[in-house]
Amino acid sequence: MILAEAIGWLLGERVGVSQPRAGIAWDRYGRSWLSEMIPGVVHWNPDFQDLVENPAGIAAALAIDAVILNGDRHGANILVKLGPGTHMVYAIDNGAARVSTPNYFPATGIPEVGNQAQGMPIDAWRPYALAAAEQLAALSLADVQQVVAYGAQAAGLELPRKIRQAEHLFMRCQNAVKLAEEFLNAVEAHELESE
Amino acid sequence: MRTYEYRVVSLLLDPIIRTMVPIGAVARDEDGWCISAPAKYIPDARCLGGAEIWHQADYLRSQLDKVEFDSVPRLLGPLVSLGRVLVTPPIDDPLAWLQRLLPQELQGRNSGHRRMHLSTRGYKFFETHSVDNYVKKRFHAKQFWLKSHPKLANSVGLLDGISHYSKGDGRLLLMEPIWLLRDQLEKDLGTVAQRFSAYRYHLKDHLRDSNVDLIAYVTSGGRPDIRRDAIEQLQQGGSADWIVDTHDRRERARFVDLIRDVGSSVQGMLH
Repeated sequence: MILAEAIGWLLGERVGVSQPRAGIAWDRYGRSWLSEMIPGVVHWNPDFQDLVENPAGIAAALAIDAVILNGDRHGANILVKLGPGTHMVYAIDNGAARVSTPNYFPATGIPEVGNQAQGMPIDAWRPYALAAAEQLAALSLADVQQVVAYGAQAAGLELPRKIRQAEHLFMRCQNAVKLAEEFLNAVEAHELESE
Repeated sequence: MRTYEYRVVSLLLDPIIRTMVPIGAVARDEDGWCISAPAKYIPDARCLGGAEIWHQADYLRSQLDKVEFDSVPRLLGPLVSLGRVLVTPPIDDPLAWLQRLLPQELQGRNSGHRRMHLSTRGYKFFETHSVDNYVKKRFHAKQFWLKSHPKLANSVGLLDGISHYSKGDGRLLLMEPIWLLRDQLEKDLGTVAQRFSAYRYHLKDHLRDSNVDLIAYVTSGGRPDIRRDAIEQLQQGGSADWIVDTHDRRERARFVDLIRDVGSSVQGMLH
């Protein structure tokens, strides 16, 4: 869903998510979401957990996930550009976030837990994620409306249909710290259960 | 001697023109028993299109045991591909045969890539968990005890240094990292066991009331069976007070909390 991709990406730019540059392509068959190709990447593996060069950038993506209701941060949606020692990590793919579906985007609640990448060091990343959540909480209604408007434009949608997203997204941003905290707790608890 | 089916495993360097570099091979016998043979050599970064591609190929080569004869796991990404099925001549040792088939390093040349030093790798753990301000690098026994325990300082003069330490109010943590991906892992395990044994011997005689913890911490990365074996080997040696598996969330949290408690007990002062 291009709307979810675009809203997640635009919010990510606001709070410093480490993510590839993005674009939109369209032809007679429709629109597509494009990500800049990063050479030399592999998918997330728990082996990398204490070799991440940019923990703030990837942890911020978890705060965004909590806010846009993205339960799809699995290992293949975290790209790792390997270096000789530490590695740069990038978040991709917000397409499954429920922010794109007005009827399934409530003002409260956290994303479904269970599909997140294994072995993320949530304990170490938590302060960065919460710092990003604080930045989300500081966004004004006008900021959030602008993000939704740009997202709708990218997706080729009429803006009025997306007003409810803006209202709920703003409420979720206001509660971002609480949502991020709950979400991180749930991801951590799930992983502990499955160990 | 028997024949095996085999497939070369390659990394696709350019999806458009489909240039590839072999990173290993997988083979199976007629009973379906499968082996994987990582390439011993990966061409220089300049041949592959950059250092990042070389690191990608090197990492994927280390993950080759996850590749099955008929499929590549999704987590290795879309750029790893299996070649067509071929058959070996009758052979005894499929691993050696496959590795001879794969690219060989030219004599006297290496890829020019250096891996991180063990101590640096270990310190990354402390940085990730934001306790690096409580951990110092390189513990020198003689210097450390020279003023407070001169007799001990004299006797430990020949002891090896310890990679990392954290000093608190009446407690000292001496910590050595273990990195399972190192080629010389066996040697590392032996060194840590020996080093800790030597410290234990000297501390027993001179510091009966001291609170010194000898801690080996196993960093993330590496196959679970190798991790298990390494931890068992250290346990059997019996020289470490605590062998921390940092892959284990609870154990890692206890370790980080201990460092924070010990380090903060002197209000940020290490000496």
